[in-house]
Amino acid sequence: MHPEEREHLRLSLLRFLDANATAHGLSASLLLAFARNEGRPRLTPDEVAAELGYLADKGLAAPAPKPISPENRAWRITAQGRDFLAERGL
Amino acid sequence: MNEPAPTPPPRTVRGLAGLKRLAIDDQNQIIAWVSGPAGAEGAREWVRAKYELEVSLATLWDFLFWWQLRRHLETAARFAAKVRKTLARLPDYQLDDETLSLATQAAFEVRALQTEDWRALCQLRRLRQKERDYRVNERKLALLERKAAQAEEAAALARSTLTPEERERRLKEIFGLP
Repeated sequence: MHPEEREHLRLSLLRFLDANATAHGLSASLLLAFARNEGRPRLTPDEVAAELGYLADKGLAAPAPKPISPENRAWRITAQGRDFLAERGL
Repeated sequence: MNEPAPTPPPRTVRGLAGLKRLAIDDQNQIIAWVSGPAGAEGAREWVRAKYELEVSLATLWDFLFWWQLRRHLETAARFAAKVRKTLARLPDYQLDDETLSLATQAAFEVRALQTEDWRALCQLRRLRQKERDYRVNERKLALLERKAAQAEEAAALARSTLTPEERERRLKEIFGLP
């Protein structure tokens, strides 16, 4: 994946998480399906997991409690993540 | 005599982040405009009239995507809550809280993936991305055309009979140099 594509994917993931105002987190598999539907049909679970890890390292996203399984954790956006989007007018 | 209270400045809305912070009623009104016969242009007019602010059409489309995804996930959450309620009432199972939570999360995800509106939403997103790519390509093309025209002019200048000083002045004009 090119750095530009990776950057777009990170923004997409953050925007999906930002749209979620429910009590549920969004699982990696759900985020993968959303991202694929945006026009990335060959996107892999590992690529999504890697970017979610990156977003977590940056404090922009965090795992939600009570995952269905350790392999399929649910994610939420953090306050820092919302600020990150807002600073970019997103 | 008391001075009249100063008129408060108009509320400002900055980009998508500003639209997301609006009251729900205002957000619904924008969506009604975007989805109605007036379309995004009508919504833009409404935002301009109400907030005295220019919002790009691209921002309105992004807002529509965000709003629809939010509603979509809320619908999935309502479905999951119903599933939880039903499971909790089953007399034969006596499910504990953790199991119920897992089942609810699974129901949420299944519902979030299984709807037609989600596909429509993604299609909208793809169209928006295509429009964005098209604009970027248009800008790139315009830039390339400008550079080619400048190069042609410079080449013609090299063949001209102008003095070196005149040539230098013309070159600066062509490339917009001070």
